[in-house]
Amino acid sequence: MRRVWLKYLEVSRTTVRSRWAYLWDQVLGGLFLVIIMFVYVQLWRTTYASGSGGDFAGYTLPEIIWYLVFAEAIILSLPRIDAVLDQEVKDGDLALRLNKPYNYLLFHYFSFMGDCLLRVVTWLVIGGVTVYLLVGGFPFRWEGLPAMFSVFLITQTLNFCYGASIGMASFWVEDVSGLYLLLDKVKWVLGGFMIPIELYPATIRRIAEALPFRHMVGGPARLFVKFSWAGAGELLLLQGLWLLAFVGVCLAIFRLGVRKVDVNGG
Amino acid sequence: MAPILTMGATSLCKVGTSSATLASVRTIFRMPRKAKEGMTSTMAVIEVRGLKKVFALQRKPEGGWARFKAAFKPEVIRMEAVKGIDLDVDKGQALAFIGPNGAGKSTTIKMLTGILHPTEGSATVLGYTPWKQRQQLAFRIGSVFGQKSQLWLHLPPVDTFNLLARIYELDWLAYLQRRGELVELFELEEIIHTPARKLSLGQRMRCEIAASLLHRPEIIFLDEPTIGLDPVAKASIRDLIRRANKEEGVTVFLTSHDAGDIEQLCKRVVIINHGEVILDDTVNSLRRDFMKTREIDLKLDSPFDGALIMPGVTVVKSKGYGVKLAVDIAVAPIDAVVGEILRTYHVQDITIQSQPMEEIIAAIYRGRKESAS
Amino acid sequence: MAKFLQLFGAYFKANMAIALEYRASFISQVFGMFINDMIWVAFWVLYFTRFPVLKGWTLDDVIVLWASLAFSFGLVSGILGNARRIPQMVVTGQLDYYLALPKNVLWHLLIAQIRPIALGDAIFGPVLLVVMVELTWAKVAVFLATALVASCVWLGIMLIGGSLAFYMGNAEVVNNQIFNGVIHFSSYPITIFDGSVKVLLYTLLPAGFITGLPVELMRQWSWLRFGQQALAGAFFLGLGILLFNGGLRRYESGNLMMMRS
Repeated sequence: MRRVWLKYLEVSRTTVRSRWAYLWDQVLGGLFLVIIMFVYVQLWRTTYASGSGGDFAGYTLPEIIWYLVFAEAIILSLPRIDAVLDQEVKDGDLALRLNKPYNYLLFHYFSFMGDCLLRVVTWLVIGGVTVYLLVGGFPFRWEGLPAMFSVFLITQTLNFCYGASIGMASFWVEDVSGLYLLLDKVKWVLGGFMIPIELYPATIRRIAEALPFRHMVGGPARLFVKFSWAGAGELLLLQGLWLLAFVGVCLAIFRLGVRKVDVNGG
Repeated sequence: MAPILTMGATSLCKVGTSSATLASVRTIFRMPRKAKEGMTSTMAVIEVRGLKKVFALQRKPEGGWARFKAAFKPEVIRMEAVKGIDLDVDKGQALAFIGPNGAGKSTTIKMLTGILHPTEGSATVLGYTPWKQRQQLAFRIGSVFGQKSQLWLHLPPVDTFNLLARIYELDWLAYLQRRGELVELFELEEIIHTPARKLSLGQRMRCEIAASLLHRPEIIFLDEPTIGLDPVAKASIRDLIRRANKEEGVTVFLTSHDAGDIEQLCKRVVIINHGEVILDDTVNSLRRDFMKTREIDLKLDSPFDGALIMPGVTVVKSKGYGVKLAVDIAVAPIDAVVGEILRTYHVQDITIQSQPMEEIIAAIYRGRKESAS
Repeated sequence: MAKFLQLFGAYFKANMAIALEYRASFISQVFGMFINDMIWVAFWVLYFTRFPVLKGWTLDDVIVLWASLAFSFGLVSGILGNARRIPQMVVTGQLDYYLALPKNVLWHLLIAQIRPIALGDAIFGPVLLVVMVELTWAKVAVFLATALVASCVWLGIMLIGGSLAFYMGNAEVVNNQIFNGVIHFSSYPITIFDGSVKVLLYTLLPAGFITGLPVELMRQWSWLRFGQQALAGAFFLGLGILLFNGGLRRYESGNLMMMRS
């Protein structure tokens, strides 16, 4: 049993190692994050300074900026699992991998997480340093770090299932990229990627609160900025429930897809 | 059983044992007179004098620190790709321009078509200096690069043809007529309306060459036109190029690695290596001067006794009933050798092979004048 | 002139034929681009619902900004499709193809590819404008004039950035950074930036000329300011052409860092 897990951990490590070579390119790409954060800071600074009558749902300027840092880090660190799976289905690589002595989805999951962890560190550092220089820090609750890390892991797992399910639509749909674009953007908007959901107009906020997307982007970001044990517990619980649903759907899609491949020969 | 002999890359000849066929062998192997150099209508369309090209390359070092330093003080290596070429090509000639990889072929062609400026020297193509009058020259020459297509992959070739008509500013009606001619000549009726990506490599190549002839160029530069093609397709392409050369008088400037291309298309061959011309002669002379060895494979009635001793003949291998001989025909004329063999032994079967063109060329690349055997 | 139009027409037909051939992919790409654009609109709608005025700008102004950006960028990327691909063309030796043909290399390669997807962007901009903002003929004229100048600025940037490929290896990566930077700064009201940044946005990252001035001129027309924008457009375009031709000479002399096959 131990060997089984070692196998998957090795997959993660290998992915990290191969990405390390491109670290320089990634840092260069990080430049654009600096620009994004810079512009965000200008925008919100102006908004707060003008005191244009709205309240900020309890966010101070540094807090709202750091919220964006975390949200960006979560989203930007996501590898394009949808494109990977789409490609593998289309190329028939999927059929090849089914012969191997590992679970197909777990293989991709561990690769995904390895990649993700490396990227999120880069983005947090780049975004964090930029923002710290511009608006300063915020009271980060270090003792909550283990809880936050767990939240992060589950967040990305949810995102993995979401992306993987979209990618596997390739079994039935010719062009997945259009579907991905749509569903990804829906996640952005209803997940509170660019603005915290608390600042949304009432009707949209109610819709967003009913959906899982806020647990995939905005909810975790908010927790990192305004940590509380109660908040952590609540988030973990909700995430856990959605996770069961997501994993179930993901596996179901996979099984159906594989059966289709078996029947049609790929 | 008539002898079937082609002086090709691997030419084989099976000859029966009758003396009548021996006579045929005799006539065939008596090499034809060397074709008179300098054809009657001489108008040089390409004149090259002392063409030189030196590249200043920056070496990209390994390792982070070295690369960082190199960004400020790059290490420049001078690479002499072409060291001083003199060349004259007459109108209507078909010239093979060959050399191993890195010899400077592509660089030379690029300079002749105006894509690259030389470091030194001069060249005149159809009266123009290519790199100075690139656009004017472009109207009168065509080019086909074996590995780079000018056909739009997702469209039928006919659409590319139409586009080229506009690029070359052809009169539309004249173009349509010309297109019709080429389609008939190249047998493209069935394929010009199919998207290019669906065509086989051979079909695509035929369309490429047709495309390059639409504007009636006076010279066409072909860079590896038969690369990657199967023998049937190769033969068909060579046939087309030959026809363009003969029937339209288009000067053909061909580079290739394929000896068959050279032998079947060109009267003249220029061999370049390390940026210099090392041979400039007719194909016939090349054959005569370098193809000095024949290999004779024999199958005898009884085991070989080693009794055949003739100057210029060596036994390469003998095993049981089979013998392989190498004959230096400068020393021992082949008819004498074959005659002696047939007199001395009961020959069941005989195969006579000349040295493949590839070996000859490889030997020339290596700088050896004698043919290897 | 007639010949140029004929050639352009021929390329237009050829490119459209390809797009139609791959209809499904084309439609999904248009759809995707549409979604992307809608996201930005969604962001601003959400924002302005909460904070109705941002340093004097309202939702209307942001719509004009977005329409200008989409229209100018889409126009250039759509009609002169190869403008963004110059670094790749230099590296892969595709320029040789154009050099071997009897036309001026720069404008030949520019008209040789038309990207219908980007044209979608160019259409989205004005459509959005018409839908969400009250227009008069005067405003339409202002929009078209300023957007056309902005297109010149974009073309200039693409030529300048693309010409870098003649001098350095990783031009494509650098180019992407430049584009991302300019697009991003152009996507936000210029009023949120102060002092030194604003200087930057009217020089190196000319977002000010791409969206800043068009919005300003839409709110309040001024011939002087329009003249400044036009001058900037001419400057960037001229510089781009100059750098490209200089780089091309370098290319022809063969002394490029990269290996050329």
